[in-house]
Amino acid sequence: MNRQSELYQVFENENLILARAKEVMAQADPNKNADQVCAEYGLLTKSYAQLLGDVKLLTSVSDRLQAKINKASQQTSRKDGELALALAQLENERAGRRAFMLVMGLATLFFVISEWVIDPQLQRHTEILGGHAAVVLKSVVALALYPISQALKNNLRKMSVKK
Amino acid sequence: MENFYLEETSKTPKLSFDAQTGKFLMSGRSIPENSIEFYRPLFEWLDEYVTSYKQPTVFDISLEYFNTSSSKCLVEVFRRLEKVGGQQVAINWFYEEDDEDMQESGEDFKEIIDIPIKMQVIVN
Repeated sequence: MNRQSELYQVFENENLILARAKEVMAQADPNKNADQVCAEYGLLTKSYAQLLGDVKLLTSVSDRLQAKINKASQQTSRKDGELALALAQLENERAGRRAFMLVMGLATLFFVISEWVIDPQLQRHTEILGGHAAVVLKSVVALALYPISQALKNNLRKMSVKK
Repeated sequence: MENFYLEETSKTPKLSFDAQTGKFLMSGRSIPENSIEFYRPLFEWLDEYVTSYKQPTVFDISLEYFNTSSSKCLVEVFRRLEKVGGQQVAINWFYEEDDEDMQESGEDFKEIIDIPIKMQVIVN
């Protein structure tokens, strides 16, 4: 049985009343059985009044349910937006943390290479920048750490969004 | 006459109709897949009850939520109880104090049913 038929079943009493009214109308002869027609008309009027009351109630209940669903839907949309924003913030922070770790790794690596390889070479060639080459190089690297970190963070975030 | 009892589920209300004491209870949620199929046994039970009741009937309704077709079935339940007579039946419509929808639904039923419906607030 489909959904429509199931819904009609809710009105089975009304369907019976309608079927009876149609039957009476088909057989009615006001000249011969006016009293019977009048009685049937009275019954039909009473049933119609009840049905009108039912329809008013159903409309009212239905409107309220619809308003409730609409309200719930709006709340869900708002929560959905909040969740998306929180996820974006979380992803941003996660990318920032990973970028920071990578940059710190690179800085440590540079420090080790600098101590073991670059600095001894620069000390041997003191004519470069009057002996301040090591300080200048390390300053440049230190200043570059933040932009590198930001660029890494942006790339990691983009990769995460693509995933 | 036997009592009518159905346990509550996530979609259907608890139905406890005691023919001996005349205490009726409907509570929970009423959103069955097929309302008429769910309520038909109750209609049949009530058809028998209204011909054989012996004492005043008190019907407590404490619904959290019901769908539109359930409200039509509730009307059918009330119409059957109308046959018992307005003085012999009392309906208590319970609703949470912050549940305006359920309160308004009770008011709607009051308008079309010829049985006194008493609105009862459940204070949280």
